[in-house]
Amino acid sequence: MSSPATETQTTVVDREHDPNPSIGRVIWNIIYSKDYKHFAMKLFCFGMIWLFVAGSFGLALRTQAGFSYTGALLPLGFLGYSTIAYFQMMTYHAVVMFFGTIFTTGFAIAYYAVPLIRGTRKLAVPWLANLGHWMVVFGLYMVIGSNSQYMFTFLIPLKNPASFYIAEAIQFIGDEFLIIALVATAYIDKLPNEKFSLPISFIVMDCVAMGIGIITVESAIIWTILSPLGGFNLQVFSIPNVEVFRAAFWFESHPLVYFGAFLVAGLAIWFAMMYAKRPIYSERMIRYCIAMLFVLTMSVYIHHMAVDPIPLWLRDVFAQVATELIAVPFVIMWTLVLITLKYSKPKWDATLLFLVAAIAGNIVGGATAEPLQPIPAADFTVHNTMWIPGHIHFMMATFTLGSFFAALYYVAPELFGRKLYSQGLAKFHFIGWTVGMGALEAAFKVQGAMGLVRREIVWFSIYEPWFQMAMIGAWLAGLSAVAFIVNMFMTWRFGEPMPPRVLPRWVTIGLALETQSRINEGNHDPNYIYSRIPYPIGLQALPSTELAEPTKELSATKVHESLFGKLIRRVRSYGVTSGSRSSSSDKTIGSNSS
Amino acid sequence: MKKRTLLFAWTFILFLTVLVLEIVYTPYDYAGYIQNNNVGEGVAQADRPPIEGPYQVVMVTCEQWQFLFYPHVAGSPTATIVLANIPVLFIVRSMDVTHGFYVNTAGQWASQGFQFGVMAVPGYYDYVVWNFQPTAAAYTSGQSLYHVQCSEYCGVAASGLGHPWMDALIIVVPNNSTGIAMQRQMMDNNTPPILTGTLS
Ligand code: HEM
Ligand SMILES: [Cu+2]
Ligand SMILES: [Cu+2]
Repeated sequence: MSSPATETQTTVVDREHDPNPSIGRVIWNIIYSKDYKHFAMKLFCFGMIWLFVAGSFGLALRTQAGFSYTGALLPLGFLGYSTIAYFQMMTYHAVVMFFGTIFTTGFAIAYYAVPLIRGTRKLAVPWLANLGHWMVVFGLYMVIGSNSQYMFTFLIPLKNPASFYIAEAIQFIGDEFLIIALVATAYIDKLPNEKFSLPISFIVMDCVAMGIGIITVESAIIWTILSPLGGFNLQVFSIPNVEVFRAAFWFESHPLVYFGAFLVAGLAIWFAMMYAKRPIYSERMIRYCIAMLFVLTMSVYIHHMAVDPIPLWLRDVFAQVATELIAVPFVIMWTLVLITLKYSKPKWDATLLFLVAAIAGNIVGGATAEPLQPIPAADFTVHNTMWIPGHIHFMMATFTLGSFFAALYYVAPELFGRKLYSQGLAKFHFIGWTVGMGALEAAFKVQGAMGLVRREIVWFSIYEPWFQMAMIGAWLAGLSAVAFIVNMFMTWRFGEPMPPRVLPRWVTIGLALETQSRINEGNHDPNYIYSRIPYPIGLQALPSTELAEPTKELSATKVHESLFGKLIRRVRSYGVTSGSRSSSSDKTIGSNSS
Repeated sequence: MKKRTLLFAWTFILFLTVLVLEIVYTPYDYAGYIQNNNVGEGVAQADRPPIEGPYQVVMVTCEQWQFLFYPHVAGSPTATIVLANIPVLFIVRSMDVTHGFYVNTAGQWASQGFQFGVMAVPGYYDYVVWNFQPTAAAYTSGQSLYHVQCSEYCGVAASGLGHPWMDALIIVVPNNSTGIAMQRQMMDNNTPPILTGTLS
């Protein structure tokens, strides 16, 4: 590192770590983070606050449902709640989990990972990022205070309170700012020969899809505000056509549901490589998947309107075909990850457990999502039944939040500079979360198949046992989330300090393994850089038995040979014949350490 | 085989699966009801399916917070009676906000095993066709009653008034003289018209 840069850095730090800062200075430092790590930490704290807030709403709902099927407010009544409050809490639970927990935690990971992996360590346009964050915070608190019982704006012409629309408008502008600042962070100081590594490519693709999508939802919301529905008696626009409005909303909303998942997908692949100690089976294929996911995430939106009165061709192309197709890149991605992990004897700590459970959650959630689209695959209609909350929780809780947890268990200690406080608590968190949420998801799915409509407060008694199961699962998951927060807090305050590292381990290893997979596939160009930080060009990561034969290339083909047996026997020669082999500097593999 | 070939093959298989799903499912899709398909399919559509008859036609009007059938049981607009084994064409609309016309078999799902539904969107008509085919035993055990419920959240005013309590009843009677007589009597002769012939 050049010395002038270091000096500037030190002076800045010194001013901010003034031993006797004024109280105003302290508050300002919290409000306005210039440093990417500080900003990520702030987002992470808020993500956890939202998890707690939205979780409490969720537990209140599940407790009510677990105790009463008649609509009598058994537990909630004692607390002074009304039936309307029950549905308000459902709104708050969904909105805050989505835009609070998932978005904010995802942003925290992305804002930390992008500057670190690229080696710029710079938060681009910090004012925009900070402003965006506080707008989201403001908007979400306003949502909680808005008394809206109508879930979201797509239920127009049901009239939400005006404050709900304003809150959503503010929150979405905030999210757009965060996205713009994140893309800027990914592009700032981009060198002419710099390329994006996998995690950054995923994040940028995600941000572009989301950025476009938010523009449509923002215009839908502003239309509402300016119409008689907005609550201000404005007549600038007439009441929007419901179908057009819903299409606009869901068009936006589709990138939105995948947002968190795509933010960490690249990191998840890195972690899979790290734990398997070998490069991903095909890096190039993952790149194709990124492109496919981008196109499809923008195309499947009509499946949310499957039983709306829309023309059949629209439904066929944008819901039926596209929704079937989007499973393809997911399946390919997980196939590649699982091939890479196969036979690798990884260390099963909280990160890997969460990662594998997340993949399982995505597969189950995705497979069971297909009957939701207009294909009456299973001879029953599950649209708007509990089947959907089942799908959502598979995708949001087990898959998206699960992969966040996976990443956080590895990344957060590096962020705090301290060792994880307790692996035991982490394991408890994993079991509680997976089992608890699994019970809830399974219960929801059964209820959906049995025809229970979602967003209800009364139902036939035959559904009640499943609600009791969901309630128990929810409390277990809630308890485990508390264990997570405690673990993180203890790590932050009391964890054993780690020696300061210039480069976190996951960044170096991730970059090295990704490079190695390009080398293996013969599409590594040494003229391109993926990061400014020095990292080994390739890593020797063969299982110990094979270390004795140094001529063998590091390759995941070893694995699939055993997988597919004789069929691909000839693959042995692959590594040797591959083009890039001729360049010896790329070849291996810890070469700069020797 | 090269790694590339392998991956290509795998991707190809996945796409092929999608294609097969498409081809297998397509017959369900356009027709609302398929004569050959014994179960019948409820597929919502924006356009009225071409009618080859015979079809019973029931108009469903949704509003906060009730379903109104036309024709309906005398004095009870939230109940209607249809004949078994003749497809029923439901024409669904909403007078105020978005609702969901959702039919299920309540407690009897295990023996009958289906539900179907369609959205009631203000400003639009939505069509759905279903052929009710209860077994002979179902009539006596009460399983020929189909519970209709609103499936799209449409607001709550107070406990007992609002979306969770918005429901209705479809009574299916056998397509024989007893059934028809019962339908006539309970519906004051105002039975669902049966369309025959080709109408498109
Ligand atoms: C293979 C992947 C996926 C497929 C095929 C799929 C399919 C579907 C379908 C067809 C629906 C519409 C349900 C209905 O209204 O009838 C739906 C709803 C939903 N999906 Fe997915 N989905 C997938 C992945 C995901 C992921 C990864 C997430 C989030 C992390 C997600 C979140 C949601 C949410 C929140 C809804 C409910 C929206 C509402 O409230 O109506 N889905 N999905
Ligand atoms: Cu979707
Ligand atoms: Cu309703």
